[in-house]
Amino acid sequence: MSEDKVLGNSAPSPQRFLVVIAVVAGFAIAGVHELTRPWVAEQRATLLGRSVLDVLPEAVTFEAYRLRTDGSLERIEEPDAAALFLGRDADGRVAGVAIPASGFGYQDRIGLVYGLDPEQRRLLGMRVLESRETPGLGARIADDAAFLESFVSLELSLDDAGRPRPLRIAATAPAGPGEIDAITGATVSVRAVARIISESLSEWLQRLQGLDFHLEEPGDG
Amino acid sequence: MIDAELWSLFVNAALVNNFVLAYFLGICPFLGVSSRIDSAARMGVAVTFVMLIASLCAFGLHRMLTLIDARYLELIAFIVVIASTVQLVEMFVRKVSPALFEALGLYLPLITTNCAILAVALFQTQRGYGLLECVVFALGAGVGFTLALVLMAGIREKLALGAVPDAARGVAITLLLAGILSLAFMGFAGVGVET
Amino acid sequence: MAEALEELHAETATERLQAGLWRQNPILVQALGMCPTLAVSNTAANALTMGLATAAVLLGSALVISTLRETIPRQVRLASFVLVIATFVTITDMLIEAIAIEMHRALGAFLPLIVANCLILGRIEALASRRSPRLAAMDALGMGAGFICCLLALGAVRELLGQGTLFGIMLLPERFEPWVVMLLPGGGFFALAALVLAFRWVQGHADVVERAR
Repeated sequence: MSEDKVLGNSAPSPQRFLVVIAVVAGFAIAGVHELTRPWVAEQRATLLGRSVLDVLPEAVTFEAYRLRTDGSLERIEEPDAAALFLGRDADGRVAGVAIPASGFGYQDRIGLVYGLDPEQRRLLGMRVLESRETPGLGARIADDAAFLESFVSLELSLDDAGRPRPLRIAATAPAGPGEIDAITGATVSVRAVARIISESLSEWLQRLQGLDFHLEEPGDG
Repeated sequence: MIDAELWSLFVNAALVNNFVLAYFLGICPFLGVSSRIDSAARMGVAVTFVMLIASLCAFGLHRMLTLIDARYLELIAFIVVIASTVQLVEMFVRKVSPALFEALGLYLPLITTNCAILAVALFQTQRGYGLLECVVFALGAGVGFTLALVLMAGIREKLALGAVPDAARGVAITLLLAGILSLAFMGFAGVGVET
Repeated sequence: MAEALEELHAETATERLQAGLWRQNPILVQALGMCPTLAVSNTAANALTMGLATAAVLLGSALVISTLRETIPRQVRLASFVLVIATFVTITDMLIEAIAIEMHRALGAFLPLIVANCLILGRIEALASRRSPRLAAMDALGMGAGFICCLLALGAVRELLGQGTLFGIMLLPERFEPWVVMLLPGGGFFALAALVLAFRWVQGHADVVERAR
């Protein structure tokens, strides 16, 4: 090790010493980074992958896509950078798309992913990926069973032009199209989730119209 | 007109997610220095100033390290560059304005190891802020820090006249007060939301 | 000379180990490393991970620095310390991400912030940079253990009262209405204040007993 060389000399010049230490530190970090990279990549993929499969109940596999600047999609390997996931069922048919979205909540940014059926008329599910909402109150958007359930097979409410209206919070017991459950004490967070999904939907639905996923059979590319 | 999103970012960093009272950053100076309002205010200004410098350094470093694909060196680079920049600024201030140095200088070396400074750098990177957002975020964080410190100092000046039980003197009573302040600051939650 | 120093402090190695746990407990007595103590102690698991990570960094840096203590030039003392600490922190951070990514996400920026934990720099400046690696290691172990104990105690209390669970296992009966405030920042301050008060009270009694002898 380089330290041994320095040890012989009782008073190395400060500059040289700092450089040596910095270089050793840099190499140590780079080494560990290289060693842990495959594990980290795998962990990241499974963490996100679990949520993606959660919001697409029928999917068993998924592909990650990135959005090119010209609006077209490009398949990528690293799921962290994906703008859209395409889920496929056991037979390789498209089981829906999962879209990550984020926006401001009560405390801080809320990151989530939601599933959309292939016909783009229903939501299939929603999972919160990150939030710093108040524990016990707003944070329940991530684990309140009834709330999460209300996104499953949620029919979108369409306007006359066939575009989806923003999601609303159900005021009465049987929720109608485009209505999600409320959580007592988490009104602002629930509203934020509705807003984040609605904004993301209005942006994506048009973009998705132009792309026909059914043509893209597995094994082709 | 102030850009709504930037304003919301500022309010969020200063009040809603106050560095001291919501994120528990910079607790050491909070417990140590905050016994007089004027020294607390000076400390706050010094911290805000260093936060701004740190934020700019971190922004540049992050861009550079992303370019050469070595983001894993970020932490070590942040620390070294922020510490040396603060040292440079300290020398500069001592030369240019001995009075200002007298007022702030004492705190500068202390500040470098303050976790609130590093947190500004880490948070802005993690959240992918742009240059302008970084500056606003650092300012907000600094203002929030100063506010918490001054509030605490004000309470402690009064407290010096009260009868505090022996066991609670010092750290314990400060922590209790901080808890109450923190609850009060929760009232700001939701202010930064644009609805 | 190093031999003589070693001799002189040989008997204090065990004392160093104990000091960190009680008499010089980093959190309760020295009020060092408060930031992560409060920030991640909302659940027992978070607190334990943070405590272990901090202790590992402290032990690693203390060993390296005390080994190099006669080589490090005085002028760049602090810079070298910080470099060594930051290296260990980055490595710990990467290892945790590789092993337990959900924990890594939960702790977020507080893992890299271990660098700024004044406990580590404080112990290295006060002890590791002057004493033998053996003594430095003992001190680091003691301080680390003291830190972990406090963090775990806080995390356990906050999780139990705030959610009714411990390490994610439901312990309190259904009827118990969780004290959400314990999970909030304010609750962190209150819990730590209570812990400090309890410690002072117990120690006050111990001192009285000692004086009576």
